[in-house]
Amino acid sequence: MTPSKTDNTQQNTYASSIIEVIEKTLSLLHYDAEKCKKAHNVWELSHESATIEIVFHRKKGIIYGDAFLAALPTKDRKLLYEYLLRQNLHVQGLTMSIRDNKILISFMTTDQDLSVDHLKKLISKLLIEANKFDNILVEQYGAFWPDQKQ
Amino acid sequence: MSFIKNLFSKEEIFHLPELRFGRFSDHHSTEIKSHLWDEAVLHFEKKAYIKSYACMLEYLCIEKENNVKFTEKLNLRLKFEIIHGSKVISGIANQDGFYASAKLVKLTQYDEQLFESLLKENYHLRYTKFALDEEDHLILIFFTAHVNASPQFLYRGLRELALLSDTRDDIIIADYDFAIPVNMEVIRKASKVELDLKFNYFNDILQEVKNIFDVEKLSKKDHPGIYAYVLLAAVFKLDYLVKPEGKILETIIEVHRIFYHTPFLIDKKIELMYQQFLRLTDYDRKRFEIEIYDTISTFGILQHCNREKIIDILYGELHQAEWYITNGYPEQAKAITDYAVGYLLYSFEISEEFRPWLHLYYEITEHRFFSKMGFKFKSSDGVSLKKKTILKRIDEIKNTLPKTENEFQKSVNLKYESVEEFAFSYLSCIVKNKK
Repeated sequence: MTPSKTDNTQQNTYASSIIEVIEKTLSLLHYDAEKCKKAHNVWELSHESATIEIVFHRKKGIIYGDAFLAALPTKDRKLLYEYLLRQNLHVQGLTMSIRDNKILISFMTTDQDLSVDHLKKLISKLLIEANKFDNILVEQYGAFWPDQKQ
Repeated sequence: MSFIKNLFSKEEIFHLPELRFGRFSDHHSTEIKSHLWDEAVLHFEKKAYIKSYACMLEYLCIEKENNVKFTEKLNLRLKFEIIHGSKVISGIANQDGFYASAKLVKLTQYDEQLFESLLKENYHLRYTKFALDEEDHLILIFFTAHVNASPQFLYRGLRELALLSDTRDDIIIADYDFAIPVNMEVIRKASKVELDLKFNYFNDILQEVKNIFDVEKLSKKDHPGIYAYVLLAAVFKLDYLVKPEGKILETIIEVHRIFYHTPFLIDKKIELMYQQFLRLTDYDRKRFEIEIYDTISTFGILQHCNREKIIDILYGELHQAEWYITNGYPEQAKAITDYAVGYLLYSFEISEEFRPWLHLYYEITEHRFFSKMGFKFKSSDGVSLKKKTILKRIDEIKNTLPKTENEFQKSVNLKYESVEEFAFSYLSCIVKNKK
């Protein structure tokens, strides 16, 4: 069964309202939403040493924010991994993970009942934690800065 | 089947009436349950979050199972425990949000490979995350702020937490000998006799499949499909009757996945499925024992399936089996009927009215399992099927069901000459009565 024109219009209107919430949130956080926009559903913003990517996944109905903290060291990662897993116990609402060779801290929220206030809290928290953790990972656990040659 | 050597011996008979079969089904469709769900939604919409969570958790309660327990229930704070499988989920809801976690294992040493795999998985998890606590327990956490914690979101988050922690713990324990099980108090370990019987039956099935592949009565080249039926029928049977957890269950799921969710041609699929299946032959009694236990469940993984769909699936498979019956391959036909019943029980939430008929199929065709497990109903004397006993059992089931659910108005069409013929005629009776 294919969606009707009415369904598509409703979905587009809904998606536009979510994008509006995201862009309004960015403005409140003093970012230029247009400049941050990398694709119709992707925004990138930086604060001090942290860069985060906000993605609205329309089909899944979720919004996630990823901060790329550092690149994994080439060896002796056990202590670093232990640290990341232990931090997951304390950072409420955020997840420490790895993907490819990157260490990430992320949030995920649904598009249902998405409010500017809630999203603002999530993005602010992610920026604060990202700025804190990237230094620790590089200085204490041998990780590399994102743009550092290994 | 003639080439099967039944490994059970007569002295091994014992009585175990409370044995559980198959997969847990979590249909919460009663009027009371629907009311609780609606209440949870209403409270959430009014931002009465703690009340909403209490209703949602009560919705998850299963009568007689004691699977959800409130350890504190105040207006502004809630503490609870949910039992799912071998895991206890502990949770708290207060002014900060809704937090729940489950301990998977306790680590006595750290492992880079294990940590890396969990951190990689964290990126893909939607609701939960792996963490390490102060006492070196690997735990899985679900946290959400109130604003997101609608009943649907909570249900999905708790479900991911329950299902993932319950499967992952056994796999970690099997792979890393420094990982110690936790929450052992919530599982029912099988008795020695039950384990012996299940282990023997498990080996019977493995041997049976290996024989079929070795003898190759019908060539794999000309009849590849029948070998897929044999493998799937075997793993579904093990899943329903032996009910393993851990790595054995993981292998069963993998055999199923290769057949249904890989893009390969049938020959390649069978090769890969058989390779996986043969991993089960590595099990000795000690390893097997670790993965056999009973638990209380809260969340199911089965899809809903209505009567029409069940009948359509059986009808389609009987059509496939008919060729083998007509051309003198009854054992192969039975692999198809075994598959059809196993597939339904493995994949779908079958209604309480239909499930007894599928269970009866196994009670009769897998008589060797049930009789040794101490079940009173004995459909065979070991050589031939007992017609009167079977008809009596059918009547017993009919009497417990509404008249509209009567599957056996034409039980006169049942054939008792062999188990293979019976299996085909039994499913045909169900299908014909409903078509």
